Amino acid sequence: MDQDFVAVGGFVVLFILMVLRVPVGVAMGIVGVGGFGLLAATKPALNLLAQSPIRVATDYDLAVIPMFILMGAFATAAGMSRELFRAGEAWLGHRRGGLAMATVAACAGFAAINGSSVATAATMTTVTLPEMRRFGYHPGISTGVIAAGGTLGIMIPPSVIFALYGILTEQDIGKLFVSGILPGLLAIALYMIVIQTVGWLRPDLLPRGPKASWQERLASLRDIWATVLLFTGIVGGLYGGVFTATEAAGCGAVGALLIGILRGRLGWSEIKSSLIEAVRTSASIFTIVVGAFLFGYFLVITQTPQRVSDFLTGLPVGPYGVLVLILIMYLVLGALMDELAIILVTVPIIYPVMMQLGFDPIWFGVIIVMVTTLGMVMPPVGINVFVINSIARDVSLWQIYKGVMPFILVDLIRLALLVLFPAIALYLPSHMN
Amino acid sequence: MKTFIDKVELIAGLLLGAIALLTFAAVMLRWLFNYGLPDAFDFSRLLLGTAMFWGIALAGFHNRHIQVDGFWELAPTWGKRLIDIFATAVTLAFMAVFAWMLEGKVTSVFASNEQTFDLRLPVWPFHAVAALGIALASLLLLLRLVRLLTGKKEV
Repeated sequence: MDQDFVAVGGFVVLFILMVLRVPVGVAMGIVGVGGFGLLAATKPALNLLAQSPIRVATDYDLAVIPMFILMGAFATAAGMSRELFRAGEAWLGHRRGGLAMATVAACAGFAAINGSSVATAATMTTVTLPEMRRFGYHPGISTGVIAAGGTLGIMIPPSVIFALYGILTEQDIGKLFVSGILPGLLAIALYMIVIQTVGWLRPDLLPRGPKASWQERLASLRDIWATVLLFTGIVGGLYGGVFTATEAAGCGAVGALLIGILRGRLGWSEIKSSLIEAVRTSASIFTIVVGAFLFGYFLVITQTPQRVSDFLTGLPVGPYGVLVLILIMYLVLGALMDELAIILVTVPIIYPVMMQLGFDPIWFGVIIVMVTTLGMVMPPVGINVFVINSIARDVSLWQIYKGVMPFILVDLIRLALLVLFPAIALYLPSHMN
Repeated sequence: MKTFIDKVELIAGLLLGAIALLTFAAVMLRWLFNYGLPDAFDFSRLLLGTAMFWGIALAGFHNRHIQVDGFWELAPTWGKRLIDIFATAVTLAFMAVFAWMLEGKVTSVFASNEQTFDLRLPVWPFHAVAALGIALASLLLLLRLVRLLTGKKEV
């Protein structure tokens, strides 16, 4: 059968299956095996099903994903998110917009012990939104802050998206994690500036909270030792080359469990529900990882990456022109599809193009995560916005989107800064052991 | 049925917990005593495969797989039901073929007597248990499809 016909047909079938709600991983698997079967033969195609998924599911490096998810589940069940917000509230709550700033700080802290943007947004909605509402914060701005703060979950290490990118592109996951630190800190600074500016322009939207005493402030810092210990242990170990990313994740999960048990926060019931939650989330991710690897055979046999690469590098717009086109594509996709699906479908096609154009693989990983985070808060399908809306039913989607708009604007500025100054992402990993 | 699913879910979760403990123990023994825990690597990855294949089955049953919901959200109730029936039937067909192929894989691993690196334990039981997870996924999807077709499952 004609290679071009199969290539185009494969993408059409993939799109139709996904629109008709077939799980993304299954749709990718069907197109991968089916397309390979049409161009090679049925038996080798079916053999892919016997070999590839079990090889993927038993890949030790991939254990990094469920281990970090498990660590996040234990940390959430142990109430660490609440402590982080209380510390932020004690130090910043009295300022105009202080609770919103405390929310950003708590999101950043929670992102440091959990690798998911959605989990960060969902947890922080239950922890911080009632407090902001209690002090009369505008519902749109309050939820907008949480939606934007939630995106820190995949930029600040550990990060499931960085791990997947590293596995797909065979890049060092530890380096990728570390490369997200400075862009994450930049995001926090820019989000604080946005809150300060909104508070200055519309003081009625972000009232001041009560001032905490120094005793309360110091006490709040004592409570966040567990988060600090976990984060420094993981990132310090990775930075110093003490352990691999998978080992860091496994130790982080056990660390969170032990801390929770020793502080009397985790009983059998909490441990059980954390384990089950981690299995459910990890399995849904593994399904599309398995599908992506099967889809990879389709891409190889149809030579799609080479063709896309030839087409894009042949455009008379230069490397940065191609980069801009790719970023626009990601922003559009991000507004329509799940971030994991986007990464797994597109990275095998786009990554070779970027390498051919001479871009740095670690830097491009940060750029990919950055545009993915934008997709998570952009209409019409910003997953963080949907998650917050599902918890705070009385705040409309429109209100949340309106509230998150200023943060999207500064995220676009941050993206431009990352493109103009790659060192923001590359400085720290270049000094790793 | 629910009790069975709950138990399977807990076992899969405990397998994840075991991987974390094995990894932690291996790192600590290497760091503190310069001692490598035998087969920690092989056990971890084989347990991961088992946990994830069983997890895939459960994610299918709970409809927790990552899906694109935009078109489904816009559809009327009968349209949603049709889409769900189609998606479940396609997923079932894929999982059934997958389970069939895995059965062949387990047979070949058994025949080749593949073993773990340090303790020389046979690998096939791990593969067999993992493959059972995908067989269970097919059964659970069949159950879901029947419930959707008979109107017992709400969309």
